[in-house]
Amino acid sequence: MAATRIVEVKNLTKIFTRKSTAFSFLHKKRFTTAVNNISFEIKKGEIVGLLGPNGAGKTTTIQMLMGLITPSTGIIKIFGKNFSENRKEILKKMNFSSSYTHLPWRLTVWENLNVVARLYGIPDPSGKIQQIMKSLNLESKKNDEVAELSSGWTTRLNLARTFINDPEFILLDEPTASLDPEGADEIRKRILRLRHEFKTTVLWTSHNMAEVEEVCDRVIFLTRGRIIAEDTPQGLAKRIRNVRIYLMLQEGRNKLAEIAAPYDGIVGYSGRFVTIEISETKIPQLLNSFSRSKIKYSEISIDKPTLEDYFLSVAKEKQT
Amino acid sequence: MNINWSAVYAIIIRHLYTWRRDFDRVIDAFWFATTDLIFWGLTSTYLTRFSIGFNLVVVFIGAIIFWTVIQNAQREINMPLLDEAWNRNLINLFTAPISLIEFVIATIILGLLKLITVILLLGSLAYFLYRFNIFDYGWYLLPALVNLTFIGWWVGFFIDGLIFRFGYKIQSFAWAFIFVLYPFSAVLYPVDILPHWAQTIAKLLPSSYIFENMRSVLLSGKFNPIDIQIAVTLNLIYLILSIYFLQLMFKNALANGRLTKLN
Repeated sequence: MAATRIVEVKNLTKIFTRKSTAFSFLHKKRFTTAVNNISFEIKKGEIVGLLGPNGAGKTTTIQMLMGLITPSTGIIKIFGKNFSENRKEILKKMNFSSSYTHLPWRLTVWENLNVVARLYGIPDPSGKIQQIMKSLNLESKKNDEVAELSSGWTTRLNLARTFINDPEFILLDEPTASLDPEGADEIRKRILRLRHEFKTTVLWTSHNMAEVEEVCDRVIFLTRGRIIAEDTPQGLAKRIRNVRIYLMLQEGRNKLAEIAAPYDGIVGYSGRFVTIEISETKIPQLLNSFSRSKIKYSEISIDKPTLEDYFLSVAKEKQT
Repeated sequence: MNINWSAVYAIIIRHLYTWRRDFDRVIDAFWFATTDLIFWGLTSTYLTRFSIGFNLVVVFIGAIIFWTVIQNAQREINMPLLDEAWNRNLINLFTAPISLIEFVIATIILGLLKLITVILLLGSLAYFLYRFNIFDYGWYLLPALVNLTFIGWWVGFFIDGLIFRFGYKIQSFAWAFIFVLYPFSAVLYPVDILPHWAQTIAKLLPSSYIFENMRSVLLSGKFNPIDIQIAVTLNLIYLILSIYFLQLMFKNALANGRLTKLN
C-alpha cells in the first residue's frame, strides 16, 4: 500500500509585486517570482530537507505552507485537504519552529507553553505542559522568563512549543542556526527522538549540509524559485562526479602536475600537501601513474563528494 | 462564524501575563489621564472664580473622563498587535489555529478590562479631588460610554489595518492619530465655535454628538435622543468599514508577505 501523502504541492507559484515608495501608484510595478511552479509531495513519517542558496525560495515556500503568505497560483494540500479552505483545521495538526522567531520575552517558560497549549485547544494543558517539559528537561526553567534564557534553552523551549500539540507535520526553519556545534547536536538528537515519539512528518530547512545529510530521508533542492533536484542526500552528492585526493608528498612534486593533467585533475598545493580533484573512476589509473613515476607520498586520503559539494556547485552555477 | 474561544482565551492570558510584569503596559492607561484630570481640574477650579455662569469643573472633568474612554479603547486595540510584533511573535501566532477575528475579539476583551479599571480609577479620583460624581450623568452614562468605546474601536481597527499595510513606519499612530479627532470632537467646547468647514467634519464624527450632549446633561440634566441615534448610526457605519478595512489589509499583508516582515 502506498504511504499516506501528508503534503501535496502542485504548481505552486508566488509572484511578489514590489512598490518602492508610499507614492508607488506613480511608479511602474516590479514583479519578483520567488517560487516558480513547484510541485512536490511529502509522505507520512518522512523527513524532507528543503535546501537551496539564499533567495532560492525556501522561506517563501515554507511560509506558504503555513498560511503566512498567500500563493499566487497553485494548490497546497495538507492531510489531504486544501489548505486555503481548511486553514484552522490543518494548522491545529501541524506546527512550526524557527530560530528567527521569538516567544514573548517577559513571559516565563510555563506561561508561554500555557498560552500555546490554549491556542491549539489542547484538552489538558497543564498535563501536556508537564509532559513536554519533562521530555525536554525544561522543568528547572519553568519559572524563568524567556529573556533570561540562553539560546540553547530558548531553542528547547521553541521545540516544546512545536511539539506541544502532538503535530503530525512540522516545519523546522533552521532549527539549530543559533547554536554551537554541541548544542546543535543535542537539539538534533532531541528532534529526532521527539519525531520518533510523535511519529511526525518533517520539512526541514538548514544551511548546515552535514545536518541535512544526517537527518533527512530526502532533499528537495531549490534554485531561483524552481526545484532543480529531488533525491536522497547521498543521491544528490553522487551527482558530483569528482572526488578529492589529499596527498602528503615526499618526492616528485614537479612531475605530479604533469601526470595529473591528462586525467583532468585539478591540483592545488599547500606546502607539502597536494589536493587533486578527479573523477572517481580514474583514481586507480592515477595512482598507478604515480608509482610508475616514482612519486612518493607518506599519507593519502580520498574524500567522496558530500551534499555540501553539491550545494556549492549549484551555488557556483547560480553566480555564473 | 465558528469562534475558537480557547484561542481567544490564550491571547487574553498572554497579555495579562505581560501586564503583570510590564509596568509601562499598565501605567500608560492611567498616567496621562490622571495628569490631565489633575491639571484640567485645577485649571477649571481657578477659572470658576471668574463666575462664568456654569460649573466649568464639572464640564472639564467630564470631558477628560470621556476622552480617556476613546483614547484607551483605541490604544488597547492596537497595543496587543504591536506587542506581538515587538516580541517577534506574530509568525508563531498566525501559524497557530487562530483567525484575525479571534485575535480582534481578544483585544476587545483585554481593552474592556483595562477600560473598566481606568474609568473606576478616574471616577474615584474625580470624586475625591473635585467632588465630581460620574453617576451625575444618570442614564446618559450608558449610551455615552458605549458610543465612546465604539469610536475607540473603529479608530483602533483602522490603525491596525494601517500597521498591516505600512508596518512599523506608522506605529506612532497608535498614540498620536486619535488626536486628529480631538479638535473636531468638541471635547472642551461646543461645535458652534468651530469654523464652518470644521463643523461639517464634526457632524461626521459621533464623538461630537456625545460631547455636546454630555455638556447638556451636566448643565441642564437633558440630552437629545436623536443625537444619540445619529452617533450610534455613524459608529456602526465606521465599525463595519474599519473591520472591512482591517480584513482587507490583513489579506493584503498575506498576499505581499508583509506579515512576515512585520515579525
